[in-house]
Parts: sequence; structure tokens; C-alpha cells
Amino acid sequence: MMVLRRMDKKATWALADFLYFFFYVGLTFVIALLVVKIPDNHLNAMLQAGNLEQTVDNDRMSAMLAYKNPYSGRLDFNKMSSAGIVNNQTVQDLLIFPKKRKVALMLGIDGKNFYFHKDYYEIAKPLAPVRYMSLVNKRFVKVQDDKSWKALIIEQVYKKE
Amino acid sequence: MNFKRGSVVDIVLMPTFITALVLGVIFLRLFAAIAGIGSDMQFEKNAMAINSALLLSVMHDVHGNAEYVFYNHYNFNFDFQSNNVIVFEEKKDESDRGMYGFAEDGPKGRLRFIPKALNKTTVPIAKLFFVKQGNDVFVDSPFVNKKFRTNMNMLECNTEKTTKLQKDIIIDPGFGWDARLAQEGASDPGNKGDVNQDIVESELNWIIAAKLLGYGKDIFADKSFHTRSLSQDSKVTIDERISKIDAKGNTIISIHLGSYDDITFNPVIAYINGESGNIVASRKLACNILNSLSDKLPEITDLAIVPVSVEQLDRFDANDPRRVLLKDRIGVQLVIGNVKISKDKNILANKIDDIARGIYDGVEAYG
Repeated sequence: MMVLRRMDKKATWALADFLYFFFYVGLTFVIALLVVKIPDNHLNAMLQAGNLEQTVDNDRMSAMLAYKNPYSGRLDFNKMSSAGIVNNQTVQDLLIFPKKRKVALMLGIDGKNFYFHKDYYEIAKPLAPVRYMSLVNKRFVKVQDDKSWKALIIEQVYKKE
Repeated sequence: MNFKRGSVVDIVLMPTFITALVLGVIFLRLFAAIAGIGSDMQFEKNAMAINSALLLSVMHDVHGNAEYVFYNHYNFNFDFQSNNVIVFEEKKDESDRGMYGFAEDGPKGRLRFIPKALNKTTVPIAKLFFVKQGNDVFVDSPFVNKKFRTNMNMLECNTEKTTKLQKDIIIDPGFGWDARLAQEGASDPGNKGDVNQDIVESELNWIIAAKLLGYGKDIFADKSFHTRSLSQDSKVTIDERISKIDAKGNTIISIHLGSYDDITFNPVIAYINGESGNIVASRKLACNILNSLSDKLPEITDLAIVPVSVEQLDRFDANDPRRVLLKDRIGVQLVIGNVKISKDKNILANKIDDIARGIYDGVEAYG
């Protein structure tokens, strides 16, 4: 009986020590980590630009494709000089994105689509808006060379921050 | 002194001692990390880099001209590179620098970004100026660059490829004065200015034209092919000018001077043929010449491109000098400055070389 009691006492202490080191020291470490990380994350969250940049960039591309009035020199966003200006080369030549930025671009006119980083687009597009984001501008433009109305689509797909 | 054997080992192995030791290390690290949150400026640098990059994106979307004053509260240095903004205190490659990218216009774009590094010298960079003027976007500061000035008159020119200018551009110096014809009342010297009437349009028009030919012999037609003599003031009718322009090349640049009662008004107006199939090319040429003149001559107060109906002039105003803007030509008629501004402040009296050089540079910039 004495032996058993002794063993019980020893086991209880071992358990207590284990709990002490495992639980309290671990908890202290977690709290320390939170004290450092929470303000850091909070500050970094304040630096998130959301989709502001992508919205502006879509608008810039929209202006590049707009019709330029030869009399006033102004841009007319409801017109386009020719549907032919949207092509594989144009989609490469609108914007020069920073090398590190993960972004894909799709221009569509009258059902024909042209891509910048097509592989990335095909992976990212189905995962939007979970891991990636998609920003679409769609408008109807009157094409000047054949006076027809066509749907112009500008879409950016990018990694969610 | 008596020490009980093993007492140090016992103390070290005590759970309380180990716990205190572990906690001590953890708290030391924790305090160091907390102190570090406020001691470096990484957050501020990142914030400035992001703000600057976003502002550059927005500047690329501006139609017209804009100037934005950005306060540099923390006295950082900035390196505005292609596609990238770096904000730093001491060294560009310091570990806690701020960095953020932005998209530049590509070959199909409207604007050109001009990279620039702004490093503080003895004076802190209190303000940065984000500028969109004409076709350029840039950042500069008078605290770094003493020559910094903005020009909100600049026009945004078409950057698309247009008809190439043939290398025999005709120059048309407006009006013309001939003493013999003048006695008969048949010579028109154009606008006369200044109190002494020293600035006479017909004379200055051919002087500017002659200097222009001097700058660009490779792109302008030979001396004898222009609408009137570039050696002396002489009289030529509008119809004679038109037949000369009709005979050669695909481009005409006509030079005239302005005259306005308001002496604070010192513009350059460019007339183009609004009915021409070359209107896009003419507007682009006019735009480049006006920007170049405005860049060279800060005294110019306004720039304007005005399409005119030459068909209507042909029908109803046979003597209008804008009739030289033929429909099948790329053509610009410049009406430069204001002859009524006093001679000592008038670019037409003091900066003829800059005017000629400005026109030449504009033609070159057309591409």
C-alpha cells in the first residue's frame, strides 16, 4: 500500500509539472506572441489598399481604348475607333505591371477575348473571390468604322491580399 | 562556510528556477519586440511608399493637368523608379525600407513616367510635388531641384502613330511687306505692336521662318520652296502661297503673330483644318509644337488648338491667311504671342531664337 501511495504521489507531481510547463509556459509564449503580432497585423491592415489600385488601373486602360475626338482632343468613352484595336498585342501593351505583381488581364470585344498572363488567368479566375479577386468593367461602345454597338470588357484578376 | 552538497544543482533543477528562467527569456524577448514596434519607421515608410505609388497610379488616370503636394512629415528620401517607389532614411537598400509597385503606361498608353530619385541634402524634403502635365507624369521637389517648376498649360498630345511628315515641310511666313506695293496700298505688314511699332509681324514672321529653316535643314524644304522669301520681307498673295504649298510635300507650318489689347494675354494659338482627313495628324503636330514652345518660353500664358472650316473661308473670305491649311496636307498655322506687350517684356522682341527652336523641337517630337 505504501509503495502504491508513493507511486501515486510521484505520478501526481509529474502530471502537475507537466501541466505547469506545458500549459502555463506555453500559454505565456502564446500571449507574448499575440502582444507582438496583434499590433503588427493591425498596423499592416491599415496599409491595405483594397482594390483601389486595380480600379484606377482598369479606368486607365478604359481611357487608352476610348475614342479620341479629333476636334476637341477629348476622350469619348462610349465610342471606339475600331474593334480591331483590341487584339493580342494591345492586351500586352496597355500597362506595364511591376514584375512582382501577380495579375492577369482579359480584354473582350464582341465575344472575342484576349489575355495577358493567360495561364494565371485560367488558374485564378475560378478561385475568385476566394483566393483571388476579379475586377470587371463592362460597357457598350459604338465602333466608329462600322457604327455598330459592341460590348467591351476589361477584366483584371489578381491575388487577394 | 558550509555548503550542502548538491544544493546548487538542486536549485537549478527546481521547477520554479527553470520556469523563472524560461519566463525571463520570454519576457526579455517580448519587451524587446514591443520596444521595436515604436523604434523603427518601417510602418511609416511602407505607408509613404504605398501612398506614393497609389498617387502615381491616380496621376496616370488624370485627364488634363494636375499638381498634388505631398507632405513628407518624416523627412524620408524617395526613389521613384520605373514601376516602383522606394522610401528610405539612410540607404536605399536598408532592411526596413518601404517599397511598393505601380503600373506604368505601356506602348499603347497615354503618358510617360519620368523616374527620379529625391535625396535630401542639407535641407529636408518637406514637400514633394506629384505632377501630371501634358504627356508626362513625374515627382519632383523644389527642396531638391532648384530649377523645378510646373507648367499647367501643357497639352496632352495623341501618342498614336499618325501619317509621317515628309522631309520637305513648307514654311509659310504670314503677311508680307513690300515698300513699292505699300505705296500703292497693296501690301499688308500684318499686326504692328509696341508703342514704337517696332514689332512688325510680316518682318518677324520671315525671321522666325528663316531661323526655323536654319535649325532644321534636314526636315524642311529647300530655301526657294517656301511660300515667300526667307531672305527679306516680301509680299505674296494667298493664292500664290496655296499654289506653292500644293506643289510640294505633305506638311505646312504657317507662322503669324497675335495682337490683343489685353497685354497680360500672351498665347500661342494653333489653327488646323477641321475638315481635313489629316486632322488627327495636324492636331498632333500642333500639340507637340505648342508644348515645346510653352516649355521653352514660360512667358506664354495660354495654348489652344482651334479647328477651322477652310471651305467656308475659301467661299467667303478669300484673304484669310488660314486658307493655306489645305485639306490634303498636315497643316498648322501658329499665331504666336502678343505684339502689344511692351518690347522689353515681349518674347517677340527678345526670344526669337527660342521661338524658332521651340517650333523645330515640336516638329521633331511629332516623330
